[in-house]
Amino acid sequence: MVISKADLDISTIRSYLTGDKRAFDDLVERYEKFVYNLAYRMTGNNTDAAGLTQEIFIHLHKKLASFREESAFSTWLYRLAVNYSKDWLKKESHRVEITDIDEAILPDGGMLPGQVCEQKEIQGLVQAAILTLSKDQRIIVILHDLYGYSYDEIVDITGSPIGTVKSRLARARLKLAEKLAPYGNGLEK
Amino acid sequence: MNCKDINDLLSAYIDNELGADEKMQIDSHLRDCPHCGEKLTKMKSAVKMVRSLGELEVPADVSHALRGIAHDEIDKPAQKRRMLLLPRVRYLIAAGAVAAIALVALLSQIDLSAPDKSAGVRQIPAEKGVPSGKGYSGPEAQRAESPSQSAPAAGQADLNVAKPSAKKIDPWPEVIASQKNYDAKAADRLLADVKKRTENLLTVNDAKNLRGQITDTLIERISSKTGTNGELMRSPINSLLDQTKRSAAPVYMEKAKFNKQGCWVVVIRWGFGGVENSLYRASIYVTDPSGWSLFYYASS
Repeated sequence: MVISKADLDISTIRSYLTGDKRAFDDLVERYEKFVYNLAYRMTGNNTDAAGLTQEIFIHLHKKLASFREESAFSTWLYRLAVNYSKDWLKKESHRVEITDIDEAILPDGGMLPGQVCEQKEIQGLVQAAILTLSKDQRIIVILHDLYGYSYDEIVDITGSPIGTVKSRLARARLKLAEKLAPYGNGLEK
Repeated sequence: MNCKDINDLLSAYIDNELGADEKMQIDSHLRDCPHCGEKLTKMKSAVKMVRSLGELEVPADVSHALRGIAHDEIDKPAQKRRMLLLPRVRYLIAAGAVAAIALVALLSQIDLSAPDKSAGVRQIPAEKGVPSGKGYSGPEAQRAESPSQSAPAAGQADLNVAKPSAKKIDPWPEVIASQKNYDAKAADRLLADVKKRTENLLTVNDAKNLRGQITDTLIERISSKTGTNGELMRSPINSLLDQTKRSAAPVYMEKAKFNKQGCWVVVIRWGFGGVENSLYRASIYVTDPSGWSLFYYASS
């Protein structure tokens, strides 16, 4: 008999709620990578990503008893993580928006548009460009272009109407296209 | 379709999310419009670059800390956290143990012989009740022992003393910036001293009802007294308080050094039971300047 991931999650959560604390570690094992990567892409640095990841799991720990099994746990957790990340970024002290991609890149590497970039440098450029997006655009780009979630899945996770998801993605991609165009040749290397 | 209509649909076009009719119209437009063709190329390139980011591994210390969340026992709220949050810190402490002993001796001399070293940046008014002789060798002890900064007369000191029975928040939480270089023993002495000075200061009820107010005061004082942005510490402090999992309130923060590394020293009082019960326990956390990595922990 094959147990689906969703069934496994439900079973794990029930174990945890009946007193098996180790079951929470199983949830951490399954979802820490998603949450950490989301946190990193939203904040752009290790320190904030580490802090945000821990806060999300602490929040999950508090809220787990309220999971009603009405949707897949993964969708519920992603929604919780996305909403928590947005609230976290709203706080004045956590603002990480960068107004100009060049500000984020040039001081360190002295990289100029058109210069052939190494893969690691490209990743830094792309991360900096993502940080120039609004929080909502950032989330859609991360979920769709980085994680590969469909429009419908993103609707479930974010709670936004499909038209909003599409338009945010379109605006985000247009902005990224302009920001990254001078550096795009690095990919062809 | 004009260029603006095309722009709005390029994203869905890349994802193959358009109907056949719309797709045909865009194909037709792109054949005649190099400008939109260029936009499409740029967008495809950008999407490809985002997809190239790949997946990051979770740092080991973060992963370790996450596995401690569910096991953070009520009776030992932060003990587990210390064990789980940053295991590398224990190695650091162990590795520095021998040096730390020598450092303690050295620091004791420095502290006693140069009492004014931290006085210049210390902002909190002098307080009565600093244990003499056996207290931690921190700013209060330095001040008490300094010939040039003699303790204020009783009448003056009374103005600033947090009277245990008054449950008065001011001057708590106390915030100072110092040049002091703590080690584990000095941190333990500080904890004992702050615990003594904040005995019966707050109740379980205070921690529940005044937590926001106390934290706001703390943040404000961090900004005004240490020259750093206090707001940056709000989240780490809340995280420490939350992980205590009991009624808890911060009572002391010091910007200092721990084994020569910049740090925050945080003392939290906590307790449980009825609303009138005192926050009878105290814990000290020494964190890195971000507040997220733990250098040292002890509870009293």
